[in-house]
Order: sequence, then structure tokens, then C-alpha cells
Amino acid sequence: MACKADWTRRDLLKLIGASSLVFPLACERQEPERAREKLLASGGAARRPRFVVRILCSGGIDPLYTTDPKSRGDVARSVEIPYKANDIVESGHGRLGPQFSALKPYLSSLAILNGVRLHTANHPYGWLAARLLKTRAAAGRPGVLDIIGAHRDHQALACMSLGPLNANDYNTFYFGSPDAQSFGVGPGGAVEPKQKGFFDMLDGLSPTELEATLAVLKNTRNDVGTSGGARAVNTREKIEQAERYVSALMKVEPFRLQEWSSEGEKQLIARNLQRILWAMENDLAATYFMRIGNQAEWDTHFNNLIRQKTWNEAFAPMFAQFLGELQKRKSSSGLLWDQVAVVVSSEIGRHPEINAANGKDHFPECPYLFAGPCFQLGKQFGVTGKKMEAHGISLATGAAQDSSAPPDLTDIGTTLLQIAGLDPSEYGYYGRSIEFLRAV
Amino acid sequence: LLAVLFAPLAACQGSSATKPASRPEPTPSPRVEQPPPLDVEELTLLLAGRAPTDEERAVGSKLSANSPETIERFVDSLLKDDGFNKDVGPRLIVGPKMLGTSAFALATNWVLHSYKQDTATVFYLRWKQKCTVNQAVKVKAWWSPDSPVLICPSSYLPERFENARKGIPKACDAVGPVADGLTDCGCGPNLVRCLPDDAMWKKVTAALTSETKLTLAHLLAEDAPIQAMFTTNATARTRYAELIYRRWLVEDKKLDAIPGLDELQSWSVDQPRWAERPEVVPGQHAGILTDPSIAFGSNGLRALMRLLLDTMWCSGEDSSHVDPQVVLTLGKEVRGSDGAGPGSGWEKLAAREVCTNCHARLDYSARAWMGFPDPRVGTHFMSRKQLFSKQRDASGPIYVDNIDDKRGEMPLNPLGFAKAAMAQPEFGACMTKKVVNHMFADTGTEEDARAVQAQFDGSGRLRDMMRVAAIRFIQRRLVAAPHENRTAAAGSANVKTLVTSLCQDCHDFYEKREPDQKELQTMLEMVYLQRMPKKRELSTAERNALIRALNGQLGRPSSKFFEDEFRAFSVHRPELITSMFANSTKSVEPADKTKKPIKLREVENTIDPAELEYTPSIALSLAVAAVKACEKSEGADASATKLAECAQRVSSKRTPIRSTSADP
Repeated sequence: MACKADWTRRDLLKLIGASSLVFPLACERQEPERAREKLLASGGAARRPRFVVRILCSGGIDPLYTTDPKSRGDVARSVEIPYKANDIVESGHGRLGPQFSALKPYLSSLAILNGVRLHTANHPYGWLAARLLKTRAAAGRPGVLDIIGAHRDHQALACMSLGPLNANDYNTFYFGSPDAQSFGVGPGGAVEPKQKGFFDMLDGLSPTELEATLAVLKNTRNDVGTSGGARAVNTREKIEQAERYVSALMKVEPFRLQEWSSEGEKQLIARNLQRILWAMENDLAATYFMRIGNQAEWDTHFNNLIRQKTWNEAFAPMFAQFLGELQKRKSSSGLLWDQVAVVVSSEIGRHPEINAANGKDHFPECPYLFAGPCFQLGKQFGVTGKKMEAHGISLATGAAQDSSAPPDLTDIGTTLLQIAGLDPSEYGYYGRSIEFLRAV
Repeated sequence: LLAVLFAPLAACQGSSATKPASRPEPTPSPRVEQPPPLDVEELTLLLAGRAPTDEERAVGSKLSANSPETIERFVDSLLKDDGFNKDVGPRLIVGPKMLGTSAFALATNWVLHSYKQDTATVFYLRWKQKCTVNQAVKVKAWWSPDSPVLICPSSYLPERFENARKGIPKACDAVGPVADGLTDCGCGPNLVRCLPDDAMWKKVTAALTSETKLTLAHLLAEDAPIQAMFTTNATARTRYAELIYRRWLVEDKKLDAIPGLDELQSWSVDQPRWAERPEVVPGQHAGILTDPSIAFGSNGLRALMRLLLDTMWCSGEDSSHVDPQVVLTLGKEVRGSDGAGPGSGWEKLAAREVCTNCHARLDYSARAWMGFPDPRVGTHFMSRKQLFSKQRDASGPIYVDNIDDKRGEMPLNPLGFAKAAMAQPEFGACMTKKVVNHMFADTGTEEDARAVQAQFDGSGRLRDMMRVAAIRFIQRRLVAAPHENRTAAAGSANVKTLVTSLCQDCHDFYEKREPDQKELQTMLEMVYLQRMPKKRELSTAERNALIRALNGQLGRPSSKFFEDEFRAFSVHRPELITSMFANSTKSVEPADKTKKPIKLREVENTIDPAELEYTPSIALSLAVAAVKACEKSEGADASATKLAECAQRVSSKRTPIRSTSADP
């Protein structure tokens, strides 16, 4: 199906019909236990998103300019609104601030949840929590992506990691290497999008090198043996992931970078988004973690407006193109869009008020964007107040409800595990299910 | 109540248990590990950062538990190795993050662009206008003092030291303004801020990074106590690192030339000199902590404090109780991000409930570091910002857990901070933990920690701490019987007994009532995440026993996930192994310089040894490294079979898998 800006009901019905042939219950809302039973009965593959993509815009996207635009009368006097009411873009599916206007054609393909509570206002801890999708976090622990990846069907890897990664992104499933840091270099600057990294190095291996590498991996796996209990078994499994990746590389069309933008930073973002698309097309990994920026990009303590504009307007068009590509490209199991769940956020939020440096400080709430047919798309959820603070909402309907605390990060992690047909409590996710977020 | 009690840093506040003055008595806990045999390869990697020689293999293979003198001699010989001083020791003490390249100390934006006209090269900054040769001015550049270079006037601006645009004042060498294209600054006197090309940027950056390593290596070779690393004024550095200290002076004093530029040429670019660093303010320098790549290695004063305190106290990341309503009530002066570090209201934040658990130690410590601003404000020591320069006898308190945990007073300068931080028991406990994690990965015990800490308390020398740890490590491998088979089996452990004994330092569980299901869930989660118990070091087996007991109490059928269901074997420094592969094969043909191997940045290099595991990434990186190494010796046309056979030979004894991590 071609990429469409605004989908009609007919298109959606067609899409649902088509996808149900391949994944008849891809988005079925299920109780966790029942879902798990069904999942096991079906061999585990058919009733959940096959791919989960987690994008972290590091630093803190300002919702006022992006996902939660406000008019003057909606906010306290201390909250600056640096745009006019008619700069807000709207469709029947929601409103976006001017810096996310590039996403307007895709509002129908997105669910936006404003005011997610993070319980932290600190980058390093926020990174850990955002990686795990859980407010109680620690370094080195597997999170939602890894747990879902561990239950993958036939993808080579559990989780592929991309971007300027750091130690907070590491755990036992780690597969990737960090991009060069881009701090201090703005769009049009000295960033070299073709800078070589781990995946480029692997792309560059000759057939002979791949074959030899595969043989070495097999030998290593045999050397590990089976003594040593579960850790030996897990070690063999980790090596097997690498073997399957190399085997796949021997067969798949090589990754070819397309120019989505002539601007350095945009193309850097595009490069990793394209890598994810290619990997999904070839079933190389079940889940994907992509960090954009090593921190400073959206960490706008200084000159908030201009810096947010720079990075939001670099990200939004590239993400829009990514969504379009998802709706066009296929893997052997069908259209990528039918198989994917995409989650976008920052690790912390921005304070609603400008500080003395024309910047905004940290805030423990931020917006989340979701894409993929498992979510209730074309809707904007979350209620925020005069100072952009989250108010209570019903987790069944999304309607304002003071008696219910706003959703938090653990609720999102819990819900994603449920969507994947897993029992969240088995993995230490004791949050609430955000029912309204899930497709019906 | 339990949630509050478990609130990470609120725990223990105000109680005598706050200060880990002495290590708690060992707690009865299950442990049934069968020790794997001694692996000489692993031992030499751990102590000397290299593969064993044939002789070491021979000696190591004959070690016997009945011959402790032989073991001691063997350990001593490995600890005398240069690899310990230059690689293992520095990495162990300060961690890979501090030894890495700073993203901020030398911004890439200041690498000049240039063009050639006839024989003349004209330099200009990328955000400034190009000019003609005739418009360009001749300047005595720091990299070419004998032969002036041409630069466009708008890129020079030797009189400008502050960004003249809107916003808070920023020094010209600040990192942020350049990214935003908001700076009016040029390269300054002697083009001190600029670099002629990427190659020079790499050289200067490498010099800054190596200053820390060289200084630590020098002190380790001298067998200096660990404390000296954080107090020495002198460092081991080369010309380009010295240049940066002189650049600081130019920026701070607004000088019109680099002091002693001609004399600077006498400094070698590769042979380090052990030399004092000039201080504009007494106490400005505190060992490696004030090296440019560390002092400007974080984006902000709080981030710097977090790095320093995590390095010295192993304080870790913990911030999970922040309430938006509280944040909204904080004025901008309290939030304190006005570009000058903690602002006028910082004391309120440091004392505020929950916030205090981090901000008391961070913000009070930051007062000693005001001269080292956020790199987005400047990347040189600013004497006017250093409180001490205004109030010569000024001192301030140092806190650890929170505002109720004041540990004393310190002079408000980096040296004062370093001394005060090292006087806390957390410093010794942290250094001990690093050594134990290094030697034993995730199987260290409290007994190991006690033995190592005793050496810290005695000589304070890293070599002595390592020696004790290594001897225990070897002895454990050499004894046939399972080590420390203590008390009951895991399955029968009583949750009340375990929780009461392990958590009693801070909590009063079971004194008033039994914890409910939700509280037990919280306990399970926090124990699994290794955020609790806070004052005890548990081995994997001990932690899993507690997890099993809690899980049993919760009535869950399996605790597999919480017992690290997905964990693979521990590994040791895969980057070291890959470089060994590369060095272990000899090239059959002259190296083709156009085919440089890609040097990858690896996240694994920055991971605590207790957490590092055999990931798919490590598996593939190592396999490719072995194949690439073999291409040198087998030739570019070698078949896959030949390459694989060679790679197997190269890698067979150099797997990074640790022998310490066998399951019970």
C-alpha cells in the first residue's frame, strides 16, 4: 500500500483486512494470561507486533512546541507561547505545535500521550528508565525491548541498538556500537553522516570474511559447551544471535543509504532510521533501540526555543518519512506497518517556564508518541494544565479523571508487554494497563 | 511505609548507620559455588592487561594451594608489569569514562577551514566569511610560531573573549554558542582557540586524554597511595596538553598572547614531562580531577559532580522519586540552571525532601568547583567564578547521603573537595568495590571486600589491594572443595531471616508488622535491580537466594527472570582481547595504509566488570577481529576455511569469558 498522508476509513479497512491475513490478531486486545496462553498455543509468533522500535530523543522534547501546543489562555502567564494560535497545525486527529508540523500528514498514524510521569528529572537515570520503560531502573538490566526480543519468532537478533549510545544502553542483549558524538555541531556543520560504525564495518565484510566469521562463531559456541548451567546456555544463545545475523548478511541485499536530507543532522537521523527499516525488511532484529543525540540536543537549558526548533525540525520530517516507509516496505511476513510498534519519547521533560538563560530546565514529565496498528491511532491523549503539568486521566478511556493518577513510565512498559502477549509481573513490571492506548 | 523506607537515598538518614564506618559483620547466606580451575590467561589479563608469556604459563600451571609463597611471587611479578601501571590500574581506579575523550574540552567547531591561493594558505572559521589573501592578516599561530599564518580578520578577533550576543555571558571558548551559530568570537590571540586541521584536533585531544593515563601510570609506578591521584598538582603531560593549560590562562586573564609560546616548543609532543601546573587560585588543581579532559568532560557542574562522586564514592545513579508539583514550585533561582552552576536558591533544593538525596552532595560539592563552569559557558578555569578567590578562607560543608548527613567542612576549591571526599569511608569502600569487581566479577564476597579494604586502610596502595585480591582469587581456584559453603541451601532460606539481617542497617522490617504483597514486590524489584541492600555487597548467589526467598513469599512459581534469567557468562575487557588478536599475527605483506582497520567505539569498554557479559555484539566483534587479524598472516586471498582455522588458533586461548562465573 502506498504511503498516504491521511488515510480514509476504506484504506484502513483494507489495511486491516490485508494484515489479518498475515497476523490475524496482531492488535487484538487480550488479558495478559489469556494472551500468553494463546501466544504459546500458536507457537508464539502470530499475535503480537513482530517489531518494536524505541526512539529516544535525548535531552527532553518540549511539548509546548510539538505534541501539546497551547493558546495563550490555556496556560499560566509565566509560560511563554512563542507562536500564534494559527501556527498550531490541526487535523481531525489532533494538534501539533509548529515544530512538529512535518508530522501533520501522519497524525492519523500516531497516538500521542502527553504528560507521562517519569519520576525523574535527571538525564543519566532518565536514560536507564527510558531504556527499560520502567521508573525503577538500574544499569545493565534488560527492559521491555529485550524481554520482547527474547520472545521473538525467527528474527536473528533480540535487539539492535543504534545512535550515540552510552553505558546506560548496555545489557546482556546488546548489539550495536555508538555513533560519533555530535555535541557542538549544528545542522550544516561538520557532521559526517557516512562516518563508519559497527554496522558499516559488518556491511563491508566480504563473502569470504563472512563465511570465516560464521565458522569462528560456531567454533566459539561449541567451545562454550553446556557446562556452567543457565549462563552457558545463554552464552550459546547470544553467540547464535550473532551467527544468525552473519548468516542473514550473506543472503540479504546490502544496506544502501539513501539521502533523505542534504542537512547533516537530519541525514544522521535518517541513516539510523533507514538501518532499522532495512533490518526489519530482512528480519534481522525483533526490537530496535535508537538514540538521537547524546544529550545536549534537546537539553535546552540555554536558548530553548532556537535549540528545540533545530532538533525538533530535524527529527520530525525524518520520522515522518520513516512512518511513510513503514507503510510501504515489506518483510517476508508482510507490510512492515502491520508488524510494528513504534514508541518515541525523551528521557526527561522540559520545565514549562523559561529560565534566566532563555532556556528551560528539567521536568519529570514528557510526551510519548506511538505508531503501529496495535495502538489506538489518530488520537491525542493526556490532560495537561496551566503549567503543562499532567492531570489524572481514566486509563480505560483517556478522559480526564482526577481520581486516577496520570500514566507513568512503568504503565507504558507494562502495557507494551501486555501488547506483546507477555505477563508484565513476571518481569517486574507492576504498572497499570493503559487500556485506551491499545487498538480495539 | 515500606515505599518510603525504600526511597533510595532517604534511607538511613540521620541514623548512625549512614556512615559505613566499618564493614557489617558477615551475614549467614547460602553459597554453593564450585570454583572453576585457575586460568593463567585470565589471571594475567586481570593483573597485567596482557596475555601470559610461555614462562608465566609454565609457572602458573604449577601453582599449588600448598605453596602460598609461590603464589605470592607469581602475583607480585605480574603486578610489577608495566601493563598494571599503564592500563589495568588507571582503568580500575577511575574507570573508562574518565579515561575517555572529552566531548567538550576541545570542540571540533574550532577546526579551521582553509583554502590555497598560489602558495598561500588562508584560514577561516566555518561560520565566518572567507576573505582574499590580501584581506587576510598574518598571525603568530600557536602551531607555527616561527612562520606566521594567514587568517581572515573576522575569524581572528584577538581582542574578543566573550560572546557579545544575547543571553547570559559566555566565554568565547564555550561549546554551546558555536553549535547555535550565535557567537561573534574568533580564534583569539595566537589563534589559541583554533586548530589548523582535523589531524591537529586529534593530536591535542589525544594529548589531553593521555595526560590522565600518564599521570596515573606515573603514580602507580611510584607506588603512591591512591589518594595522591586526586591531590597531585603535577601531572605527566606533553606539549599539547600543556598548551591547553596556557590557553586557560589566556582566556581567564584576557591575555594578548600565549605565555611562553616559544618555550612551549621545548615540550615534546610524545614524551611526557612530569611538571607542576600553575594555579591562579590556591587549590585550583586536584590531581587528575582537574585535567582538562575530566574537568570539562561533562556538560555542566552537576554532571561533573556526579562523575567525580561516582568515581570516588561509587554513588551511582539514583533519581526516581521526583514529583512534578515539587518541581513546579521551585523558582528558577532554585532550579539553578542559570549557567553558573547552582544558583542563589540552590540551598533550598539541597534541603528539599527527595531532592536532597542527590542535591545535598552534588550542590554543596559543586561550590568547590565554581571555577570550572558548564562547557556551554566556557571551557577554561575561571578564577573570578571560583568562590575561593573572593573569600580566601571560605569553607563549606560536605554531605553524603542527604542534608542530614553532613560529614565536615572543606576549603571551597577542588583540592579541598578532593581531600574531604577521600576522608569519607565511602571512598575506601568504593576503591575496595572496584578491586573486588575487577578480580571476581560478580562473585566477590564480603570476606573478599574485608581483606581488600584492610589493605586500603593500611597502605592505601592499589598494588597492595590487588595483591590480596589476586591471592584470594588464585587460592579459591586451586582448592578442590566448594568455596564457602555457608548455611542453608537457597530454597530453604527464610525471607524474614534474610531481610532482617541484610536490611537491618537501614530498615526495621518485621519489627512492627509483616510486609504486605506490594511491599514484598518492591523489595523483590529493588533487590533484583541491585539497588538494595544499599550497605551490603552481595554475590550473585547471595542475591539470588534473597530473590528466591522473596519470590517464594510472594507465591510466584518462578523467580527465573529476577535471578538473571537472560544472563550470559561474565567477560573481561573484550577490547583488550581484540587488540591481542591483532598483535598476535604477523603480516605476510607490507601493510596497506589505505586499508586502515576501523576502530570502533565500544560501549562495552565503559561497563563495570561485574556487569559485563558475553553479548551478541561481543561475540561478533571478537569473531570479526580474529578473522581480520588472520587476513594479515594468511594473506588477502586466503580462503574462508584457512581464515577460520587461523582465527580459531588466534582466539582459542584468548576468549574473554571469565572463569569466575559458573552457575552453582
